[in-house]
Amino acid sequence: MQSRNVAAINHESGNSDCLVTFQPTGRRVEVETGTTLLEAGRRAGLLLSAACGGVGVCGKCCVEILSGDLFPTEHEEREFLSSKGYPPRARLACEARVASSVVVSIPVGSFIVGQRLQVDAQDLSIECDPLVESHVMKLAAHSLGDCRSSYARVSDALASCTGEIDWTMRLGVSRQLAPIIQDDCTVSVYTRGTEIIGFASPGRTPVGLAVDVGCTKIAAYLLKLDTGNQLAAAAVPNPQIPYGEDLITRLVYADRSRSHAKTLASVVGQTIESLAKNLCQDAKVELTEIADVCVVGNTAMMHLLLQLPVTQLLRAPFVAALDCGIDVSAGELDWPFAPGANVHVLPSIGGFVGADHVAMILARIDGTNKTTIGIDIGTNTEIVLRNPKRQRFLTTSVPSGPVFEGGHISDGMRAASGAIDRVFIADAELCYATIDAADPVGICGSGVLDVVAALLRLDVIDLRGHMQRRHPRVRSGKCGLEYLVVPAAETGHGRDIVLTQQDITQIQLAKAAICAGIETLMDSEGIKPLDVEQVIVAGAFGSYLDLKSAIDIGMLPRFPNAQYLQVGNAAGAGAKMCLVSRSARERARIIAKAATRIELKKCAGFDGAMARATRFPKFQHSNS
Amino acid sequence: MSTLDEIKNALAELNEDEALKLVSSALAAKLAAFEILKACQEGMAEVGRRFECQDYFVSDLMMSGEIFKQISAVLEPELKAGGTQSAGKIVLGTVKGDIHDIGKDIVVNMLKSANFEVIDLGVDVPPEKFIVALRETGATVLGMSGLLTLAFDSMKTTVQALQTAGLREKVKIMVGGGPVDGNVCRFVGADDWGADAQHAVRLAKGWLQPIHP
Repeated sequence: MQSRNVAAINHESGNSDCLVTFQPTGRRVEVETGTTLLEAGRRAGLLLSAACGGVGVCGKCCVEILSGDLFPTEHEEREFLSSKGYPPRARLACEARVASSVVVSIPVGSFIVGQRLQVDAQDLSIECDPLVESHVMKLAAHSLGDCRSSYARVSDALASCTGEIDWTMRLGVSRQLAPIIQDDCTVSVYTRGTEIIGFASPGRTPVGLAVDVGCTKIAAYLLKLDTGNQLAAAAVPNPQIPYGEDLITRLVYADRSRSHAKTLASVVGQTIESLAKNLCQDAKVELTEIADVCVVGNTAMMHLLLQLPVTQLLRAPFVAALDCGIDVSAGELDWPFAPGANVHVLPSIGGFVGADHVAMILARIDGTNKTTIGIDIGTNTEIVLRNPKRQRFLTTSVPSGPVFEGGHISDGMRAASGAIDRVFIADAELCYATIDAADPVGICGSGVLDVVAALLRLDVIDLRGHMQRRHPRVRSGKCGLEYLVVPAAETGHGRDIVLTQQDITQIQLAKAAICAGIETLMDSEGIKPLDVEQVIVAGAFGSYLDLKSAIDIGMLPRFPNAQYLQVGNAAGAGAKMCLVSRSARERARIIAKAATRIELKKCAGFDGAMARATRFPKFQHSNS
Repeated sequence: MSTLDEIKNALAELNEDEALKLVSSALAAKLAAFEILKACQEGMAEVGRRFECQDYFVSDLMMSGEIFKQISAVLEPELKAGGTQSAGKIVLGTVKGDIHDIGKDIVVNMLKSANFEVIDLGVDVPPEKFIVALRETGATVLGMSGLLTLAFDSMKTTVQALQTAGLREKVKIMVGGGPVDGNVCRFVGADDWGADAQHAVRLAKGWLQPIHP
């Protein structure tokens, strides 16, 4: 009888809520017994890193339990953690399930927030020709002598100032009619074509929002539509990261059920909305004054945002559901902007070569009369070759992997506080710098490139990428040879930071894919190294990497006649151009049509070029 | 050192230009194509050994595969004329829905260098295509590769299709690719799995070259 009681009590407590407190932020959330810490973190709005999508294999979500009980560790999890040298209180957030209220500490490396996010999308030099116009007009109040509907008052007034008599509006816009015409009043009416899309106080000019949805971060820009002036800009981490670090994991997640797909769409939608709110606050404009929106992103991000079918994107030959540009009503995406505002999503080229690549070409490649190679490095690296003698743009996408975002590297991390982001040689010694000058906790992409370039120069690795056993800082680690980058005594987490032979292999494969992709495009177009006049490196990683390191390790070929430019977020710049200019949108459509996508797998020379490009180029002395 | 030893060394050292030059001068000197091929195979075997000792890495396997592919292309006409015997036939490909081929290509080249005749069906290969190839060539070993998790379903479907086609008993099946392990092997119903190209060669040898008493 007594034992029954105990069981009953336990059962009851099993249903009750457990309070999970996350340190160092102090964020709290109540969850049911048995919930994983990763899920609890998501519900608390914390961005915990889970590169593998929460299946217990990447170890990126490791947290420390400060107090409270969890269900016992799976044997495999324990083995995994001890093999990585984590302390006994460490658990994988994706595997650990709460059994009581707990306090959890999230180490720096497992936290996604606070990473360096690039927003700059440099100057716009474009003539504004926005789709949305603003008309200031005086509207007479209702009276016995004038019982025209509110709509008729507005449309008549518009007719008298534009000559156009047939005006349409959506339901959301109609609902704003009554409040604005209570007294004799003057208003600004926003129109797009022959549609009335919103109202504002007199003298207000419409603003627009340009958004670049990246796999890692979302950048948004608020612009005045009539002048193109940028009022505010900001970027935040992509809130889908907790659902999978790379886009394939996220697509698989979305493919599992409609509710998953909805979740991934709504977290991004809400993030864009709150970005817009903050930008409007900074710029002192109302959210409802946002009269136009232009969105770019890679194919996967656009499919997830618009909740397009993704099953076919996950299987060869990786077909997009939609590749033309599309206009969606802002209301359909639950964005509380001007009630008739549209969201324009740029066209894409095909496969994973998406709208962001079209935007980059539009912003940085389209106008040039030089033989240009444009490259946006990420998990998928998009490359474009522009031969000014031809109409077409030759593009391709190479799966370069997450190495340059710190993935697949034993001590790799994102560009967040404490990441080694610069490495250089002084007095034949390796020196490093970290983000925020914090104690180092890992190496981010630009640091990875620099370390390899430095190790090549110091002959710690040879041209085949083999580590030299005899070097004093090379030692035997758990997975073969490794180079000690920073000893435990100097690090922020008390463990050595190393670069292993396996890491070097990963870097070789990634940089070889990029280099071979460039060479294969050049072969297809008959362009020789001496012909290349310009190399444009775009994107967040592309802006922070050291060009010399990138060339030294052979990720970018050394073109004697080329100027290399790091242009920042070119996709964002393209989105801004399309926001304020009708003709830029038309140009984007033409670019998407004129772009020829090369399938590298089908190019006879690619495999050989890639095998050869895994080698490092001979070190060029400082005359370069 | 004989030319053949030099060829073997050039391959083992992954010296592309040197190896190709030596092969063409060996052909010009009327050395038998199958002897040259044998030297190359020995060089590739040495590459495999070094890989197992962690002196060589995946990038080196890719490079050796590329050199071997070029030499094979040069030797092929001569070898056809000579009618050399292969160690057995293997049908191989990346399964439907997946297009990863770096690992698969390394396995193909390693198997070829171990004197197997490999029918490489490429990537995104549907079950029917595997079955047609097995029937047409009479191969008794099937290798399936895949890196994406959804490739496991394709592997399973292919094994079931072999069953339906009445081929399962006659064909040994190996699977491989990044996340493939014993669990995946059991799930898809394959006979064995390989963690790397050397492993695949050992499996093929075990199945196709029973040790003679």
